[in-house]
Amino acid sequence: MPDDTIPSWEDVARLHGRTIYNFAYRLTGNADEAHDLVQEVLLRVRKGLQAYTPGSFEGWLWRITRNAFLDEVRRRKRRPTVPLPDGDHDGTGSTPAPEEVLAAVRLSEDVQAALLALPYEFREAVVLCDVVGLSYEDIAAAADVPIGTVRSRIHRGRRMLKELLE
Amino acid sequence: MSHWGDRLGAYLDGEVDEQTRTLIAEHLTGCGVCRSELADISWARSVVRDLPIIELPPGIVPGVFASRRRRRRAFRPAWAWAASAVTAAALTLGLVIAPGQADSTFELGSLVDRHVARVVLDPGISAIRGPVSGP
Ligand SMILES: [Zn+2]
Repeated sequence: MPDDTIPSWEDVARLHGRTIYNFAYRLTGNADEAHDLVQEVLLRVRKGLQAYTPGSFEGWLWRITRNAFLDEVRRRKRRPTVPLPDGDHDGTGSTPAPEEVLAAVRLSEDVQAALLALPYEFREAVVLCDVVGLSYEDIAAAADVPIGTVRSRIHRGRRMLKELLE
Repeated sequence: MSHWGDRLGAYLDGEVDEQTRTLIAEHLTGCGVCRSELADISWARSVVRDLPIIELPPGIVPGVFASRRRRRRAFRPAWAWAASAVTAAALTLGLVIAPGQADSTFELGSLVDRHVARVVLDPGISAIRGPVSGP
């Protein structure tokens, strides 16, 4: 998206809705929270677009997303938590899948569990880099930290993941 | 610099300048410590990047046009349509199976209505109950 155009709200929803959902899902491991976050972020984007001045759109969008996410986490802390689903997600049982499919599912569940075990700052940096696909510069803008901090968090986050998944 | 540390991640991500990239590449040819570190974080990077992308649950975007309370109003036309369609179906069914028992048919209809209304009003239900992992 060129930096001199202001996208419409519908563009943001269409182009970034799924990414925002995946960001929240990977940070929480919870579809319910991811669902609420997407709606909250899009509401804030809709309000915020009026005041948006062309610049780094990604940095702007992900700063809003991150703040909405942290607010949502704080709000939910006052409510009973939903345990992270383990194995069979819908609880209805499933037909056996080929070995390699099962192995891939197990790995992705292990990776998700390992992500959740990281301290928040590291998890966020890794998810923004490797799930959302932001540049270090945009991550720095979103998280409001120097780029050296982003580099360090991503590196240490990956190192921790490697150790957790060994 | 003895080892490259967290610059190795930046190197993988293409987040170092050309000169640094060359220096790191040269260093890697002679340093097992950095090569091993690079292999580790490269593996961690790829398993996160390979996580399945989860599709947005249907209906999630229109619901955001209004606040959560007002959203119910925004969905009312769809709800009314679905509810009356089911009522019509239930009434038809009732008339076919048990003509003359209008009262019980009516109850069945409104019971189904409420269920349908709930499902239509909350598009998140399928997202919450459905599989949370991607394909
Ligand atoms: Zn070295």
